[in-house]
Amino acid sequence: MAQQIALMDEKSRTDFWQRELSKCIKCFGCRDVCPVWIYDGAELEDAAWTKPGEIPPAVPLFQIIRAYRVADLCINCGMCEETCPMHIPLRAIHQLMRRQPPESVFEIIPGLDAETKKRLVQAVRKQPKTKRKKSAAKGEGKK
Amino acid sequence: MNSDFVLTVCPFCGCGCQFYLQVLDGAVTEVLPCKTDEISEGKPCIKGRNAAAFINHPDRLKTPLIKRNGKFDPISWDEALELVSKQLIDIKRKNGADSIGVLSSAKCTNEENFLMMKFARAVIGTNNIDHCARLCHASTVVGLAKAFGSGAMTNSIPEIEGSDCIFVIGSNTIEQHPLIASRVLRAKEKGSKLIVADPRCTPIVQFADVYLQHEPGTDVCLLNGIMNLILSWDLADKDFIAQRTESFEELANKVKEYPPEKVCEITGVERAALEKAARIYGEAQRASILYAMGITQHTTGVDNVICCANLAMLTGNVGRESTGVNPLRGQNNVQGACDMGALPNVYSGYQSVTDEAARAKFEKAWGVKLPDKAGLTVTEMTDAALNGSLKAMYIMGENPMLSDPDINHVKKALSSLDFLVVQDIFLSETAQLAHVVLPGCSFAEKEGTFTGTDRRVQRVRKAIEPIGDSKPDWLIISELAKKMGSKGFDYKSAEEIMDEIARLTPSYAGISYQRLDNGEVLAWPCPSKEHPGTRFLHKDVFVRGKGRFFAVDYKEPAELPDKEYPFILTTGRLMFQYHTGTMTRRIPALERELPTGFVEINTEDAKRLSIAQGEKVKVKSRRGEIEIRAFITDGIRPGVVFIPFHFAECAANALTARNIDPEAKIPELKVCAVKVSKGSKHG
Repeated sequence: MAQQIALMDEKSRTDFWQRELSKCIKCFGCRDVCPVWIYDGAELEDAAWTKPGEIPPAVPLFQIIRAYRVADLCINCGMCEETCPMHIPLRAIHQLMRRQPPESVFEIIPGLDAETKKRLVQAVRKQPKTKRKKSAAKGEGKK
Repeated sequence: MNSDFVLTVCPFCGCGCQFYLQVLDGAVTEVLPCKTDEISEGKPCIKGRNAAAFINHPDRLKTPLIKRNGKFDPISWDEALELVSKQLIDIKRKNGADSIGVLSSAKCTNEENFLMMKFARAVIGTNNIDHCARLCHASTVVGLAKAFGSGAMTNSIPEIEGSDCIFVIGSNTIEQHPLIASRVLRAKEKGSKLIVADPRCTPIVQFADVYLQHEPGTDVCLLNGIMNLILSWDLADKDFIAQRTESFEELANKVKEYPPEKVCEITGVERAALEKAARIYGEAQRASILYAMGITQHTTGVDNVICCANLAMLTGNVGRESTGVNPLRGQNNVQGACDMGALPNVYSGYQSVTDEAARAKFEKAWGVKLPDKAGLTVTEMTDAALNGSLKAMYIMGENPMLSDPDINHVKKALSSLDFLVVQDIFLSETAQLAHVVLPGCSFAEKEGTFTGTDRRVQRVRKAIEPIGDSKPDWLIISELAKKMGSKGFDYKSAEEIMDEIARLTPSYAGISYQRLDNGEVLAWPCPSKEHPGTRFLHKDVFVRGKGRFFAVDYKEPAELPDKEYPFILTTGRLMFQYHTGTMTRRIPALERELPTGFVEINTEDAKRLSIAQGEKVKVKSRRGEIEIRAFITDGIRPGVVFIPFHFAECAANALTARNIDPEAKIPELKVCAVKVSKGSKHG
């Protein structure tokens, strides 16, 4: 799948992801099973980024956020794709990003406007909150 | 530290996904997907992933409660059962057994539903037992039983993937049955065509090859129109009709009266779209119909269901793999609650209470005389409570104060009862009206089985001890029955109840915990211990012998818009909440996504009424009025508004009407007339 996506021209790739990501039912499975996701909700649960209660959640922003957030930590385990009830080929995103800089996600999944890209890059480059789960948060200083 | 992983079944929709509950030192910590589960394949939806989050909620009922001076006080189990037993016996003595009504629960296990129906019939002595299937698929049970002889989903969920045409009508499949929708989309990837008919543009519409946005309540007309075209194009399956069905002429003559011009005018569907849909369905080799409340919740619910059956038989799409008429059942165990006879006219396995042989069998097994005439339905019970003929109700795991039509009426009815017992895990809107509340326990705290929408019987397993002093519902019912002096309720386990179910229910005769625990996937009918279960029904022969066509005419909904109430209100559900929200509104991840309701209104209508996006508006019907935020969208037909029924603070069912289907007694929750106006200035 990664190979096919890589060979698409920008228009086809945009259409491809538009179609695939429209299947998303916002179960948060791709985030919840991710072994390297260390952030506390972050933009995925922030109404300023994606509107709560909407299905599919902002296409393609929602999935770009997730992929970009884990870009430099991803171990290509493929769990995100394996747990996706709608069979969205998420593993391919990370296979294509593997030897690329994190910002390559904007090429792999085209269609995000320049302003949002800039905002996202800035948000992610700021030191993220990393308290994640309750058990992990306990005992740590609260800010 | 003690850690365990307990395989069980999701307590939300009817898909029947299995997952593991992770248990740490006697508490459930989280849900872990189960990759070997055939339905979810380790990919549950958001509700499934968060299904453990309500189990330990501080609101859980932990002791029995009694209402004194308008306030609930805790009492002991002994006192509570003594009181309930005494009251029920008194009321029965004074007013007769039929002055008591029982509502069973599609959230509870098969064992509990079986026991509740045994309790109503053998202990109280009434057939006044029903449950929320009356509000969802009563018309399916009646309609498909008439046409095919069995009122259940004909095929299994995994088969959907193999269809080459999927016709979704009146089902918001992506939001309500995500793991079925997942199959639909996979079928599409393999080349299947998708037809969607729905007055609301739900998320699945974007994947449709043809979308029919028909006027609410015109389903019979639409389906007759499609059949008209299929017949005139000679796409009917003549061999199937000749060999497997009867009364075809009746149907053929009727659908002649539905030419495309007439159909398009009544339904508001474009002719090209109608023709395309008829062409796709008519030419398909393995066409599958999926439907839900959009078909059933009408005064013509049974007619709608029969039209779906007609269409499938007309094209020979029944009795084979990946075809069929597939009602998608809403609740985790609503199929099971029906199978167990939590209905006023049948015992378990749909054995009629008016059939002398069936009655004699149950009388012999239970050692009591049983009532011989059908009892009251949910909708009839509220009327009977209001007119005084029903004096007491025992409600288990149901919340009619939010789920039933016209809740102002329901409130009056329940408040006028001499005695109301509610058994639940939270103090629901209904429980607040009770005289006595009994704390049942959640799916994580008991053994049992659920039957999913595709008739698949699966094991629910106990992960933790009951919270507080709560008890499994089957245990409460049997203790109460014993308190009331009845014999035959000495069950030591849920498994013993399943053995009794198997003895008395031909379609469950081969089902046992041993087989289920060995990993067998058993869908009923499973008539013997050697039988492998039945993936799809009506192979070679229909349950009733021949499939029966019925000629059905289009009838208008009972309450149509007029000058004063110019909009059609249609109701439904959304992805992130479940039914009356008793559980999901206590799950933070879901509540965060969807904290309250809204009314969907078409852009043009909103403009005309100068309503802004997100503005608070008033929605009023002849029954009630609510304040609710407007959600302006092009995804709904002009003249139609939609409100989800999850939310007590803006309850759609304050507006809905009690008009019912004459046969199935299902209320028309999908159509009533309302007025929309701007709300208070600071909305």
